[in-house]
Amino acid sequence: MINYTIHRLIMMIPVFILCSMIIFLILHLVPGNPVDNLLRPGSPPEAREQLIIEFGLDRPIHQQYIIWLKNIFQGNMGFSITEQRNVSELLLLKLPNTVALGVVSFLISFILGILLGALSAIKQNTIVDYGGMVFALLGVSVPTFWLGLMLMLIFSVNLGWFPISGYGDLKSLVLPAFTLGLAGAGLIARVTRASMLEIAQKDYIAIVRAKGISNTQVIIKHIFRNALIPIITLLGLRLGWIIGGAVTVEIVFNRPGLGRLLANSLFRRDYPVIQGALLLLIFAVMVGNLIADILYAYADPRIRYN
Amino acid sequence: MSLLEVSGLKLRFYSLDGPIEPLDRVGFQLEEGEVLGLVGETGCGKSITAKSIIKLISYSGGEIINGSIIFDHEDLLSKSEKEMQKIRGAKISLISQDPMTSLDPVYRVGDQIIEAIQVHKKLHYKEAKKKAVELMRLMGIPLPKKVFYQYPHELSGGMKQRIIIAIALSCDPALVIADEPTTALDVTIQAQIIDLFNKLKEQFQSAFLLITHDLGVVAQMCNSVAIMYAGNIVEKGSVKKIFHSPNHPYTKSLLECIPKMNQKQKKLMAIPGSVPHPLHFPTGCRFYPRCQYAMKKCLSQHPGLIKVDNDHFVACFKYSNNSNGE
Amino acid sequence: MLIHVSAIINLFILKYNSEGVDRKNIGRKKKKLKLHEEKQYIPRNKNRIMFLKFKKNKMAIVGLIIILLLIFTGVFSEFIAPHSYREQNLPLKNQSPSPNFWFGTDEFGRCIFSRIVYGARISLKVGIISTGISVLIGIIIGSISAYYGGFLDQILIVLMDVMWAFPTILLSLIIVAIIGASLNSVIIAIALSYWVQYARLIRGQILSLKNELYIEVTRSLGANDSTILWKHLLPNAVIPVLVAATLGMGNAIVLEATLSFLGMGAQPPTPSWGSMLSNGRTYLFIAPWSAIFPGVATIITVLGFNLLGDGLRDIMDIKMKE
Repeated sequence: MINYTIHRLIMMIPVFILCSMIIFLILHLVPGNPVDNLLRPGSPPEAREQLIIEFGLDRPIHQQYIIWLKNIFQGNMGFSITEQRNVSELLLLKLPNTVALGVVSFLISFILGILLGALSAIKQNTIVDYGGMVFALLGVSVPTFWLGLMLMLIFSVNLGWFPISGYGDLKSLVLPAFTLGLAGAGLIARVTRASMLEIAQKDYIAIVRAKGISNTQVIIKHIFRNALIPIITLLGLRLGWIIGGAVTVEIVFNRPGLGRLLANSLFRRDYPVIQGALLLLIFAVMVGNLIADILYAYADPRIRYN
Repeated sequence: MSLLEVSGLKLRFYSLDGPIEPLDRVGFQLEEGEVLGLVGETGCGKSITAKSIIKLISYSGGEIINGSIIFDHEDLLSKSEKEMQKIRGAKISLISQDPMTSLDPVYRVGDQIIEAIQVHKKLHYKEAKKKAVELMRLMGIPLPKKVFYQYPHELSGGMKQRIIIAIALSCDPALVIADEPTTALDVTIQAQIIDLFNKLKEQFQSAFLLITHDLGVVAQMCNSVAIMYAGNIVEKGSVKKIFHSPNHPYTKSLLECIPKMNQKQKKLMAIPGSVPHPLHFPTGCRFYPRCQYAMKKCLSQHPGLIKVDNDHFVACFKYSNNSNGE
Repeated sequence: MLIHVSAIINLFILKYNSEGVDRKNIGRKKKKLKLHEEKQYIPRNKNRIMFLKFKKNKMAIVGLIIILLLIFTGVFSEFIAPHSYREQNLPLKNQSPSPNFWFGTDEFGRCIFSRIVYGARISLKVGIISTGISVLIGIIIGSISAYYGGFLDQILIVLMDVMWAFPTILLSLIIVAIIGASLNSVIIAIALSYWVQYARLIRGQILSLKNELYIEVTRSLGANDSTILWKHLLPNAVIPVLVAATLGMGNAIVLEATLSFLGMGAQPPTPSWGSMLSNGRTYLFIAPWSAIFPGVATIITVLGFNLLGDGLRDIMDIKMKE
């Protein structure tokens, strides 16, 4: 188990370096020089030259990359012109809001999704199942931002239960977290149901039943336990999805978080922020995948011992 | 009274093309300690018969619509699911076809043996473990204490089958239903498992219902045989009678298909045609499309089982005394 | 790129037809029963089984109907829409639904119903073209990766893993930010963000098919690499990809709506559902209909693709493990 974890950790390094290269390259492939955004229209060309030298943009691209990477490891991610702040400072400022949103919606989607999926599988072809699956289907079909708008319309505008936007307190987190969580719950419910129904038809379940184990035990100890394996795979993928979803949800609910910061920086072409935020997000996704992989190995002995 | 008496069993499944009835009028008896072979081609309904006896068929979408299953003076069909759970594993146990897929991949094999012991015998983990290791040793598993902690994917097919047999015998059941226990194994392993069965038969005094398509296995292990064709029992009797004086045309052809050591054969025999799909079961006798002795009567009427001798029954109009349709 | 949708439709038309033929044969029962040949098990053809399953799968039929309606709406927008999608009528702005404007009007007094009807065209265009491109890229890269293996495969796997871990919405946002906001860049961005799933699928399919006995037999009969790849592996591997693509079109349409909602997609006055929602959001409190109806249209469309995709997956009994 420890060997496996170490192996996976080492495997993360090249992937992370590759990602950082891609991020660095993509933003340098953009037409136009980043310094053009810094200059007022009509500035003399000398000022432009000076800025280029100041930012090291005249050096070969691989040197620029190494300098950039070195700075990042020293905690220096550059300076955001539009926000007038250090990028690392800015990211740290926005991070808690996104983490809170992510964690709560992650929990909502998994708890609700697994419960709904398991219930649908157990009560297959009953009204419970149909209801659950219609909900799940809507969950995967409804655009996140629209769900957010509608929840806002119903619960904030008409019922006045929750604030329309804002951040910091728990009440303002409810609608954004549910928006993001409900969409995920749909997919998880579908996967849970499908894999439980598949496992239920396996030979070993018939053998377990033939042992005289009670139905509840069969479902929990054997069917659900085996169905958990594909659900765990989803876990890692969901994290990336939630980070992506955070962009729209934070914009819809006007929450100051990483997603909204990233989207705004993309509009304004604030490259240091884009690079920093992307690196942070990729790191989070990779850690999420690592955790999922370790859990996966823990859940499935066939992987653990390979 | 026999240990197990199945009679008039009729089973229904709902398929895309409407209901199908893969079993009809299935009946046989099994005495205590007896080994009965249930023989037939693939798709004739042997495995679902096995699952029907312990009423697991509803989990596969089937429904018993007629007949009775009397086990140990009790009518199983009138039992609730809760009552059946007390019988399954404790009094009747099941060994399934493919050892590769019959063990839960996420639990240690030892724990899978213990599961049944704990449920029925209410033993503590330690005692149950002792019993499980003892059973594993009895099954001829080398280093049972080590194997106890292994996962199914670490064991070979033969080892897995021994574990499954250990699970089946863990609570000293009165009846073990073995559904093609050797089919998925290599020939050498098959022989080992058959030897194991013969040994266990004496040791455990359980009755065995052995489902197979291999007449060789039947000859080695069984006391009596029931031959199944397309969801019907066509002939049943003691092994000796069936092998030496088969009556039903289907049984005869089956036996002719076995290559004989002492005869020079130019060509291996085969029965023309194949088992019909349950959707297209012929009316009347289900074997008549492939039968060389078919009569007009066979088309429309279903032959019931007729006693031809002591312990020997056949379902064929050739042997009915009151043959009025010819 | 309409080929894909029309292929699926053709598939069903073919099945309906073959069903007709089968029925006729089965219906013509022979009256006289002969002894030996009659009532043998009739091997049922695969298409008929699939058709029976499709007919039983009401959800898939609903999905197909929704998609057909959507195509109809997209093709005949000019005849269906009661008003122009771009003609502004400021005195009539933000009107609630009425007999004249079924879904109300937006902040420029444009008929929302008409704009939704025209928007179907945009959604279809984005869904079909972007999915078409990403399926194409996916098939090419996936089959190269699977069939040739080795070092090339290793590199492609790392590339696919990296892209797979990356949230699609962010990827497409970045691409659009680089090449500039427009409907065409949205199509390109979606195509470049989604190909990985098809590549992984086709790679997995080919790898598992490669070890199938019939491929070995074909090879032992002397077939060369390209024959095996083109004639045996791809046709078999492609069916799950088509099913995934049906589901993928729904995702592509949602992604387009999201990007347009974020202001990175279709530019005014193009009646993209996403940009309509983006505008509607501003007027959510005074004219909620301008945010409700384009969303409902998007959901119904995506639902259609999801229902059909789910149905096809069940019918063809495909396991799409990711």
